[in-house]
Amino acid sequence: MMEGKLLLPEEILNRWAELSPMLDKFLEHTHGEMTAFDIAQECINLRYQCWVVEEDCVITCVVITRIENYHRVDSLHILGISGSGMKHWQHFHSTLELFAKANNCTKISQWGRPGWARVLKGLKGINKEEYRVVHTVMAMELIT
Amino acid sequence: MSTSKITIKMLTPEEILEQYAGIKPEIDKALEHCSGEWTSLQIITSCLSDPSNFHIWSVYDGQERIARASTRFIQYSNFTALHITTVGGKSNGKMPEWSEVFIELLKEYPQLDCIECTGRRGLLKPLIKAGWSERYTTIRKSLKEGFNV
Repeated sequence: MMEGKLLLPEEILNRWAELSPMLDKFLEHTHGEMTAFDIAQECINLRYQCWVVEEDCVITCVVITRIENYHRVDSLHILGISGSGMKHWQHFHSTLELFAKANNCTKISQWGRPGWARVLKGLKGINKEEYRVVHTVMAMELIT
Repeated sequence: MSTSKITIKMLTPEEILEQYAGIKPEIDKALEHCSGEWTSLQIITSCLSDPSNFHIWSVYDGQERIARASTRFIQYSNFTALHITTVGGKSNGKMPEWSEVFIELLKEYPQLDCIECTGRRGLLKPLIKAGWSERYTTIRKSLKEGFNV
């Protein structure tokens, strides 16, 4: 049975050996903003959320989120997803939606590699909402 | 008593996270003699979320790790103390040497005025021998039915 759930700080500590390599995997595609340890620290401080999808007690997917409080709206921001076989666990998205709504978020957002636009295309929310590309993120590496 | 040297090392937050499964039962064991002020989870998460104020240390006798301690900074109105929250393991009869090594290490923290520990009476004799002083006896009376610590 495949289940999605939010991990408590104690569960993050207990399952760190499983979580750490999965977080490292999605961090490979980031640009040095944070380490797996930084994520653990934020989750233990309850500033980020660590979600897992499990099959027979084995973690198949990890999703890290945080709530972004903008002036006018709050958004559940997906910082990273790690796992394989997304079509088998995408039904877990509704758990994220309910969590977002329970925390007054009016949207779910994600930044990622361009390939994510294709992966998320067609993923429907509880009320048939869809993901769409709303920004392009640009960065200039400064020589310091 | 062995002639090997005592060394003490503070764990980095990353090491605490990596070694959680081993550290937790050791702190739990040390907490068996406490009155429920803390749980091991609370101590460890404090070390991870506020590492400048909460710490975990490993004590080695030669190559062998013989004990684990947790500490926190306490800022009183008039001085700053390093408070030993838990200590567990064995001393190998070298408590005065532990104390000496630890005090040497704490020179890295010039903001500290003293080191303190609330513990069982058994700690008194070796620590007094190492130059520590007994300062208080803690007595407690429960104000609530069912609260018996």
